[in-house]
Amino acid sequence: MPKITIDGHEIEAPSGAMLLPVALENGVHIPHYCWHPKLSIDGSCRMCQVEVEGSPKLVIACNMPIRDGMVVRTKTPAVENARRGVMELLLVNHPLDCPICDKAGECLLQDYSFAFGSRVARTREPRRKLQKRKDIGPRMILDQERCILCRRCVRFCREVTGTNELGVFNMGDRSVLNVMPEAPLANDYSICTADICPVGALESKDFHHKLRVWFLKKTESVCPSCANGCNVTVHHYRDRVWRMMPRRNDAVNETWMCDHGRLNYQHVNSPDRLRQPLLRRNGHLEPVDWEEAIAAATTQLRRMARAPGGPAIGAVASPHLTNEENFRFAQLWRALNVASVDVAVVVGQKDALLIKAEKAANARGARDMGLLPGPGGVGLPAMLDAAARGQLRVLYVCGPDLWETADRQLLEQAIERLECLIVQDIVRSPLAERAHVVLPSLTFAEKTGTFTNFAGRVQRLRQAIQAPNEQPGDGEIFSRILGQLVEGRPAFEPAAVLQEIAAAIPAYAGLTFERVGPLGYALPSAAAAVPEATA
Amino acid sequence: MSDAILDRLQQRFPDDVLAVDTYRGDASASVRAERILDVARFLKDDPGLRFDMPIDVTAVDYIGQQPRFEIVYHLYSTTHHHRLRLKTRVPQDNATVPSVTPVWVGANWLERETWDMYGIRFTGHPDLRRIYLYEEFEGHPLRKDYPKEKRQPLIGPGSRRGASVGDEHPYAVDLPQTKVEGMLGSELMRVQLGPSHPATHGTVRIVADLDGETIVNADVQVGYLHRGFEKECESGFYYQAIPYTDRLNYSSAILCNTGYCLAVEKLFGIEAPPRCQFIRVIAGEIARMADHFLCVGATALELNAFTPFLYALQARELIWDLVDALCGGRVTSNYIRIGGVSADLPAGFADLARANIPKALAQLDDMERLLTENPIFRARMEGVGMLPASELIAYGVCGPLLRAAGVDLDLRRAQPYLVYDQVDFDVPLGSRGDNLDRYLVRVAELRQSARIIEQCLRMLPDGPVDSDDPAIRWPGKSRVFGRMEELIDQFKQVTEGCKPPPGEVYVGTESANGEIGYFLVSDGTGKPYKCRARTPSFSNTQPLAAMIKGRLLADLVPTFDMINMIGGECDR
Amino acid sequence: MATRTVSVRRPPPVRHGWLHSAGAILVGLRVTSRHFFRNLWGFIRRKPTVFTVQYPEQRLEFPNAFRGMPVLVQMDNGKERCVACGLCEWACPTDCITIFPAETEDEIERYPAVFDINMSRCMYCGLCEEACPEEAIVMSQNVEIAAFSRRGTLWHKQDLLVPVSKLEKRLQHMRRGYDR
Repeated sequence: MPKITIDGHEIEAPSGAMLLPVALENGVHIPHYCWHPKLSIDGSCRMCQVEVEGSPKLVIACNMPIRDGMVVRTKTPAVENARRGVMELLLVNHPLDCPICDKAGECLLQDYSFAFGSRVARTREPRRKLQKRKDIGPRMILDQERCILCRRCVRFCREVTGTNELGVFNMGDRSVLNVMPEAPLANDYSICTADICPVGALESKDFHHKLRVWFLKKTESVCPSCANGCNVTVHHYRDRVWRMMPRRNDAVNETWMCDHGRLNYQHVNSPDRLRQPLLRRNGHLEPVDWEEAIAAATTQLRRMARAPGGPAIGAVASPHLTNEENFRFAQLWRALNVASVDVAVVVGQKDALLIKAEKAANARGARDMGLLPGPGGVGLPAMLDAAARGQLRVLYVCGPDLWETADRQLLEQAIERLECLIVQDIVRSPLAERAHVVLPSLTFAEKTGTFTNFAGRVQRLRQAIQAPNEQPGDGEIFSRILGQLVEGRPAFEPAAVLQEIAAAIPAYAGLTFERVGPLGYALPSAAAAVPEATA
Repeated sequence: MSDAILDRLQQRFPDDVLAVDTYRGDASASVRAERILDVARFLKDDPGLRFDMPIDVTAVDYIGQQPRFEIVYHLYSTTHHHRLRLKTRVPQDNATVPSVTPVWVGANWLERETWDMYGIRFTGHPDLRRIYLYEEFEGHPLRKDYPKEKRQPLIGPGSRRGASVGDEHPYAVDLPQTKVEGMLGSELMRVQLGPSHPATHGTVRIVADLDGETIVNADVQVGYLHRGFEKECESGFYYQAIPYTDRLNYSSAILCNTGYCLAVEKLFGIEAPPRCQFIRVIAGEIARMADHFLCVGATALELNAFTPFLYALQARELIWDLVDALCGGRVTSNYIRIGGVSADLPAGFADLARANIPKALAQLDDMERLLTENPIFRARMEGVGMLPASELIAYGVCGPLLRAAGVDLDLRRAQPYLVYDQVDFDVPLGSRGDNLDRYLVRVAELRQSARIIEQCLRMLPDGPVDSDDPAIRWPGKSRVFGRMEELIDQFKQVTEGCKPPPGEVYVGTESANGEIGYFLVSDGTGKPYKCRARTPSFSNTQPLAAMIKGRLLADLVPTFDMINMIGGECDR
Repeated sequence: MATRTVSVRRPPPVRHGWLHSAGAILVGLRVTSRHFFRNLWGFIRRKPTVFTVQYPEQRLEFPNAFRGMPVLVQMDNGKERCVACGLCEWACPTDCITIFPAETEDEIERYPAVFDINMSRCMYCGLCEEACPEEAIVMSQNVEIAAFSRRGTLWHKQDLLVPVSKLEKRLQHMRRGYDR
């Protein structure tokens, strides 16, 4: 492998690679604007200029292929001078918007100006006047004055989504970023342009004027919206989720995520969240405490488990719960010899980029945990048939997907005949309204665990916010029910349960949280994946 | 000089000195924990080193590293006027180290504080109990894994654990009963002064065993004003700690600000411009005058001389008018900044100073006429509260309290900083070290401070008053409003703070009560990893029990007043 | 540097006896009488020399640098100058400022929908004023802010607005003071 020297340190680099990514991967922070690891090389910003021995002028590192024996210097007076010059010219026409710009705190212009720029402003002339607060799409706003013309967004729309909505018009001093006429920035990944924009020119409407980024705490997690499992960072403050941003994972989502998934965090903060269990008494649902609710559910399950002819219980698992929680769910049904278990998952459109058909992150994981009909049991929709006929007396439903996917008439008939419908969900859904026992569930942002995506990649979530009043998570609820039905209540601790999974399920052998790591772990039998449902 | 100290230490303990350092000129040596007592004895006794004064004992929690805790001793030599930082590491599961109280008796309270805050056991310590916090407190708050918001279980009357009204006060259990019999074979009586007592200005509790009127044994309990200064500073940026330093010695807040900012500037390795240094000296001496006026006046008040107290307050009002004009606050000044001061001298300041200070000194003249030769005042103060100078040094006492005993230790003279080496002033010293000497020293220092201020006003150079590095000092306000680079610099400074390079420094300056020292450890981020304030009142209050032992109860009051324990400084 | 140590001069030993004690009393009385008659003369002449200020009938004038309660600058159109940038909230060491930013349709697109200051937490240090890039929050000269309840110490945006014409002196001081 070729060897190069940067600032006196020798580094090995793959031949043909460009200098800038090699430097960044080795911890040398060369400032840059227009270069992005997943977009084509532009070479327009001139910020990554460095000194390369043998070259009479400074070279841009983003477009400099490495050569064996190359000697690079990034801290010489010439380099510092060049950076200062670039910064000064970029700031000459930049509006004094920092106090009102959302990007403050994560703005590369601020960072590089403070680190490399000139100390004192030399110009005071009025800045050029362009369009501000321009509505360019259903989810995006453009401020043309702030744009530094790095063209990352243009290349994104051209190379990644192929939709070509953005372009730089006019030339030279009059260049301006704009949407193509009659083509709003409306593709399914439009907010990614706000991620890659180094300044506050492209902003997402969802986060516009919401909160200052320096308040936000960041937790690594996985998007819950579809089976792709894009890696995300959940940004939270004071136990509310304020936004999600994609995290780089070259095996899953590169550096992107779709708009729908990104905006699908509102339910976490919803004021309609169920916080207390409900029990049906005298025809309507009343709030009760946890002990009572669990006891009510357990009583029904215990009774129906001993029904002649086998347990008259059906269970519908949620594809939104983690593997650990679903494992405990499966243990519960095995303990009761319940074979009618299935997963309900909403299926929708998919695309060629990231969006997958299954609109839940862990349907594959739920199936892997064994939440499928066993011998002698039935799956969906046969389970609802059996309930409508009175053969199934108790139905335990987790998640909202059953309401969306089942035949509405059949479902209503089933509910009529059921002796006990237990629903575990995050809000008081229409299905919960018909239930006898309603148990509050927690969202992805409030739990630690793992999801398995469509391709058999196990990825981990970390708890970002704390539910109020020490609300128990779904795994804890399943554990309590299991503990009342079986001797010795197994405590619910995600890392410990993952070890149980690793011991019980061959495909997950040897798995621990550390091994899953921040970028996930591909199950060895990924090729033999359970086929995903299609639209 | 630092190299000579370290060389000598390494020569004597070649295997036990693990590392030496002279970062930013501070001599620093790491030694093995088991050998700390031998090293301490050597450092004190060796004629070339003579580290007779324990300045500070504290610890740093390097959570995640093995060994976890680093215990840091700061030492000073009153003969050679040099410093040393001695460090040793102990692991989490065996956080014990031999106590150095056999070598320096002043390490007693400092080690108690380190036990209280970090949970480090000092073997051989005569009385290792918590000093700031109550015994039922759970945990050691300065550890990095102790969250700032953690709540403690309730104690006291009415709580589940507390005593009910009418029971023996639950916290009087600390002191062991003295077995001495009183005269006539009587029992000793235990009285408590404080924590809420008109004669102790500053909350402190003195539990005294009396034989008649004579104090046989006393225990001074501090910590009633402990507000978690260090923990608070660790959770904020460097610039946010400055208002907290105001609240250390709130009688002379500017001196506390100055020490802190000098320490941060030392971390950066920069010096403020000359005009700024002169202004800092002027402001500091004004603050010193305010403190001394209060001390002398309050002492008089507690000896029942009410009039000199009012004269002193009047003089202090005149001084405070100057502080007010400078920074807008009379008590909590928040004046000094990292790399400068918050604002230059206002127009007409020199005239105001030249008008007010002579008036204040005229008040001082009247106070002296009422007090200095007054028989009652003399009888209460003369010959009271003495300790030999060597003992005071071993306690770590400094400032006017030590100078009254005849020891020439004034950091403005011994280790000049800012522009103290360019002005002429006298350092008054006492002879007997009793309360009268302490009073006379403070009165003399008031006049010397006025002299320094006058010289500085005359010598004040023109020029910039702030450092021009925007990575250290915030940009000028008028420029932030209209210039792009300055706006960005303001944003970065406020949201991320200035980031000194990783390292540790100690800066000791002469505040009104003695050496106020700041030990800062930087990890390269905008928040200090450790922000330790070594406060003179803490060390000065330690020998109080020894000073009043065998004296009458009434002698406690002037002794305590002349120590000038400022609650905020003692308890942080 | 010419510093030197000087021994303080201790007064001569106290002489006891009723004569000397009476003398000491007279010395003290001389000082206090001087003050007394000077003040008395001041009252007679109606130009009091006593230091006391008869508050609240008399009020002191504070210097330009004085840091009282923080207030929001109100522009001539009645709106606050503040654009809810959040720097004061972040700079405040005691976390006493709460700001909820929101959007407007005006030229200045951002404003604080909520701007609360918890005056019982505020320590009047002035870091908010120093951090503000818009000269929108300044320390006023108002210190009379006692309240009858804890809730009364929470000040909302409307209570904090002060017209810019009343704050010119402070703004001038800021511009001059914080400059290099």
